[in-house]
Amino acid sequence: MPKAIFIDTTHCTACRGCQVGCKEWKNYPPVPTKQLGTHQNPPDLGPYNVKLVRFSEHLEGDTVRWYFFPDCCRHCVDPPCKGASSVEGGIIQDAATGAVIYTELTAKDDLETIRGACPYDIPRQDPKTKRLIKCDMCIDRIQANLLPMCVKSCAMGAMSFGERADILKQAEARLEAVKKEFPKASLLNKDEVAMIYLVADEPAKYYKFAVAEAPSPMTRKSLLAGVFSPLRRMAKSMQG
Amino acid sequence: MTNHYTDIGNADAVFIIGSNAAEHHPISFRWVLKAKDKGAVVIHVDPKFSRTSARSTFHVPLRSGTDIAFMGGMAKYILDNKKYFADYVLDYTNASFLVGESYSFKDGLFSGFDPAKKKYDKSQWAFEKDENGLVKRDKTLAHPRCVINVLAKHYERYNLDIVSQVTGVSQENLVKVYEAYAATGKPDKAGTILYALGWTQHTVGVQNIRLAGIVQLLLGNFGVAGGGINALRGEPNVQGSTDHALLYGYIPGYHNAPISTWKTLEEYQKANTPVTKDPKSVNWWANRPKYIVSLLKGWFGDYATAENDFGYSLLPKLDPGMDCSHLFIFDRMYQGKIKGGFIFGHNPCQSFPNSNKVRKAVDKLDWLVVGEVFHNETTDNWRRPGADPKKCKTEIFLLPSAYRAEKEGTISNSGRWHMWHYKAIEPIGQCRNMGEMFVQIMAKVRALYAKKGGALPDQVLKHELPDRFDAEEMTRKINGFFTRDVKIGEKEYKKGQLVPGFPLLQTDGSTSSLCWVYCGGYTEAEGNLAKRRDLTQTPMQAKIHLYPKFAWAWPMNRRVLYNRASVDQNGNPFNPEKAVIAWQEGKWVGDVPDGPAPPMAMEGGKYPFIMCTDGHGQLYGPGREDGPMPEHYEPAETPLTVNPFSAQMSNPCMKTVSGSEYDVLCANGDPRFPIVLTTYCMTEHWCSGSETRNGPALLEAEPQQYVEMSPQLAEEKGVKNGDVVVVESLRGRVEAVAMVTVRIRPFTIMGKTVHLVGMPFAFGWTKPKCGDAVNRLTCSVGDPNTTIPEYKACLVNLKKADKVTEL
Amino acid sequence: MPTPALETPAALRAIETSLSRAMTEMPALVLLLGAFGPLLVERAWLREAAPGWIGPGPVVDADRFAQGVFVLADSGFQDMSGHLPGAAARLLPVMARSFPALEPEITVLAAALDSGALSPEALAAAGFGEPVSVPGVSAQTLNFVASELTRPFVERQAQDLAALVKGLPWQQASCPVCGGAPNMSVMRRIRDESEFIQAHGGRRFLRCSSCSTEWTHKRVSCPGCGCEEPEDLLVLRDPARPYERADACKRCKSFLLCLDCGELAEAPDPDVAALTMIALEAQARREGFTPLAEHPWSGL
Repeated sequence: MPKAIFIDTTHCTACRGCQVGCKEWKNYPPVPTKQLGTHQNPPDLGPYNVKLVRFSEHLEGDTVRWYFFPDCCRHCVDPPCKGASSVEGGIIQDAATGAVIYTELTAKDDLETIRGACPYDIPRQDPKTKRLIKCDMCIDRIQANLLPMCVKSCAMGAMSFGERADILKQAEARLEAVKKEFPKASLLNKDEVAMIYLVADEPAKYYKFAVAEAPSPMTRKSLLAGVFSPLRRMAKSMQG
Repeated sequence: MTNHYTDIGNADAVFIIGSNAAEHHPISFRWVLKAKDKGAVVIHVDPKFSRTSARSTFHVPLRSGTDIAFMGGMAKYILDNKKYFADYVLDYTNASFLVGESYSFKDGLFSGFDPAKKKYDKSQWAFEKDENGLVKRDKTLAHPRCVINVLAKHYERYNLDIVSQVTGVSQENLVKVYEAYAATGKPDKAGTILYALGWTQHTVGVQNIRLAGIVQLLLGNFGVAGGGINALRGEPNVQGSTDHALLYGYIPGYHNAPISTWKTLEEYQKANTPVTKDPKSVNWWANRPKYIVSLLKGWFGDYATAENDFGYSLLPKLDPGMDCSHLFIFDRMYQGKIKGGFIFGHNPCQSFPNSNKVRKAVDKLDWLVVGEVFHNETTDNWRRPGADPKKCKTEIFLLPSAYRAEKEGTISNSGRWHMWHYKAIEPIGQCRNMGEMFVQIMAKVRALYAKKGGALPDQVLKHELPDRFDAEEMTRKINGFFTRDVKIGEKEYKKGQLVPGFPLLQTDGSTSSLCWVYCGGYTEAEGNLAKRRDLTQTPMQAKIHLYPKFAWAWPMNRRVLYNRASVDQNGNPFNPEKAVIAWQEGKWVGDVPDGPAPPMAMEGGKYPFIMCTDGHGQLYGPGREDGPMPEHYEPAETPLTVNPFSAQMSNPCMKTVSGSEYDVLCANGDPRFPIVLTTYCMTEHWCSGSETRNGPALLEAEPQQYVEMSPQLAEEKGVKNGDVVVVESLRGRVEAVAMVTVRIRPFTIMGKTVHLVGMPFAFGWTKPKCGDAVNRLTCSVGDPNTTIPEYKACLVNLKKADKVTEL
Repeated sequence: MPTPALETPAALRAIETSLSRAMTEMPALVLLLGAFGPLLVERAWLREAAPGWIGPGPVVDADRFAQGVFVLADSGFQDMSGHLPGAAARLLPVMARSFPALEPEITVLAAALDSGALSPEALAAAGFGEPVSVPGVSAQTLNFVASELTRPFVERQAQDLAALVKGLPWQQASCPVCGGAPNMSVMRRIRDESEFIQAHGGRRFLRCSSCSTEWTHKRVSCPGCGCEEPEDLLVLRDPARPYERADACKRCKSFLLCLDCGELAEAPDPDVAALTMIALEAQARREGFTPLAEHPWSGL
């Protein structure tokens, strides 16, 4: 039965427990960072940071809006990265959970192609092993009947894990509840992904790639037609 | 806190000012949002838009150090618009008391000021008394010297125009806050005020809180569920350490430290025991002598007898007016008057103000002992940047400390809940907990004294100290024992039995207790009540999340202080839906009431404010050093040249030191330093950061010193987001990365733009390239009552860095 | 017996998932799980179809209840004997397959029920521990079979009765519905959408050995004697399965199995979990502790 994670950003306070907890569980080494004028640090996802809380702030009239977005792989129901992969067994989808997993075989794959295929700009590469890296939904933990680390470490109760059908129900109910306070609230690409985000405002105010711009079924065919390449270019220009 | 964490959920309005609750006291915020879910308005007033602001109903930015102007405006709004709870104000506060004729207030100064000593003669502020020694009252409130009229006159000047010009808050926003909060003046509505270091760390810190007290009294918000004035305290156990007299001016249980003019115990007791002639006033502090004698018995054991004043003569005495707070200790240290000492649980070279001075002061010591988990800026002061280790004469001993999970004992949370923590694992290596370190050091010292003698031998040898540290046994000693068989009323108590509660402590030496407020927390019948984790409660208690069986709260497990003010004179709750206590069938139900007396209107009834000598909430409070009512003064360093409220710019009584070249303050409106700096903690690092900077994933998330500033200031200074800037004050310079953010807004003050910047204090040089102490900028000035330094407002300037060395 | 609904009820799904997970994780227990698994499944089907409490429930006085007077203190469960022949038709074949050693006795018992030699009323009485005798069937087997037969109906009635006292304070370590002793405790994550900060520890529920009602109880205490001293409270566990433990008390020498679901993605079915904890249970007994109440298999 496919699993899903609900991320309610209206409860998130950007304490970064998920970011730190994820790193510690994976035993990733610390990345030397610099203060670059924002709390968001490291500045982007990387081979040792598969979960990153993104910060964005806006001044609207006299009102400040400060939004937090714990970014990571969405585990698409029909993952375009898998479609784009040319290496057999490199990108697989776990039948039991729906988790999209990058194996060591991805070292033979092309980062540009795979990253270009991702509407959320998630995949990164380990510079040493050349393996492509992203969140694996803590498949090791799930198989041991344990909660994914980000969900476990979320002190604010902003994240829940469970059966996709139950999580969708929970997400819809929460959306209904917050609509009163935030009329623009929405669930991002809920039918296409397993990481279901609830945002209170226009998704672009959270993060450029918070939502897939073409929320149509992502097939290998449309992918090969280059539907996502403009997005990829945007991603590149953003990172300079 | 007068109330407690879970009680915040009962509020109809939550007013957070001088606190960033969501980031620094997250558990408190759990209950803030519970209240919000039930329809409460959550107001955040703070210079910076933080994560607390993001989750509040609205945020109002205010210039740091202008809280009294802001709150004074609220007091005026409440009085002008008759938003106060009239019966409560008349019956439970001193609104009707007559202020004596010698009281006056002119141009920023109250009567009785001695400019040479920077001190007031407080006797000039006394109430007028009748021939029987009772305070004169006019219950019609017509007399011009009635407190309520004196109060109204005092805050008459705090109109929207001036308050807005001083604070930088628009008049519209002022009214928005005043209106929303004053709505809790109705009998069945409650508002809570949450504050933290954003209020205490000012030269007017105590008066900030006094004014919140006045507002809460006017609105009838004391004693009720969802009300009160609530200092958020945290993991450093500030509540517990304050109860046990962390501060130099007290001995455990909120008694003044002895001074040299109180030569005998009798003189001490006389000077410190208030007297009232009003039979309806409980005047709880009349019991002080019992607590003092029991404390002395706890300290000196069998040695303490009535004949030797229970060992009173062995206590160290301060000279009158002597200040031994850290501001002054480090001043004396800088002047070479201190040879050595112990520092535990502190990183003063990083976290005390004016740290350039503090660091040099530590250089003057011959020896220093530090108990710490990690090396930090204090343990390694001798090798700090710019210092020559070869020239450092200080020998520093670093004692490895046990970490939190490696020791057992109690922590008292903000809500006065005494809670036991169990040891999870044994300390690694040679680490020990601090209690053990003290016991072992003192055992050696005493052995040496016994063999070789030394100065003040009785002071060292007569103390009853344990052979080894046992947290459980300490908790019992804090509660206290009967020291001999006694009969009190009908009941007999045996020697060595635990005292069941502080009402049974005695002046004759038959009881001991190391801190009276905790007496009753460890009983013969139930054992260590700090260990209780029982969530059961009566339906009445459940309505207000009282949880009386979870842990134990001082005093006597009372969860809401002054709860007799939550009922009318016949004992009926003002808000029956959220009743704290109620008089039913001849007894009190609900919370533990403030004393067993029946309701005020009945025979034997008492006034609700039992800790006040006259039994009434003090709208006018003649006890503080700097005035009976709060007055707005600018911070010690201010961008203004004129204080529109008076000719008095800064607090006339504020504490200053002058021992070093670093003890300098900007002139008012100094053009060289036009920017207001405020400093704060952060979520990712804890306090001075000496622990959390050693957590790689935390350092990755918050790696370096930053300075938050508005886009307008950045543009003015030609600074781009992420540039390294140098922030300078008259006392030092700090390199920091510019974080240009709309969360900081420029203020319009008296018609001019005033910029404010904010910096965290968690970054220090022992972690390379992460920056160094922001406290090199802050100044050595303090509140006259507490000497808490003014970390929250000083003047700086900044420019883009030419050369970067610290980052 | 009504036809089972098309959608598998959640409780059954949990039993089946837990069973298959347990068999994979603990191959040594395949025989035991294979014996009790089908019985648990069949019992759950019966419970789903059982009538529950019929008519108005017993009057609950909130004050008396708070003092520790359980719901059925003055009455008892409603008679379910009319349903027992149907239940026997489904459950007895399963039991005969699961416990071949008992097969002859079960056959005798089924025949006695068919012939009227054993009335459904007597069978129900046996289920509640009253002395009933059937020639050719040992008292132990009769009691085991009868209580397995009555149990689905008891559990179903208890569900309805527990609803009567929902939210009322209950401090006892015994069941608020039937007064039974717990044979299991479960720590569950309680989600409250209004919570800004989620507790990670989970709340402890005790589970009744006779009607499977669960009720919250203080975490750090021995339900046997109320002891709260950490030195006296012992936790036995297998490091490989840290969420399964036996909470033992040195003071009263009792123990209670505990399933800690705080960190688990899916909470296993407590009955299946109790089966997987059989080694822990044995260890606790070896160390001289006695269970607060037995599981059905404890006597076999």
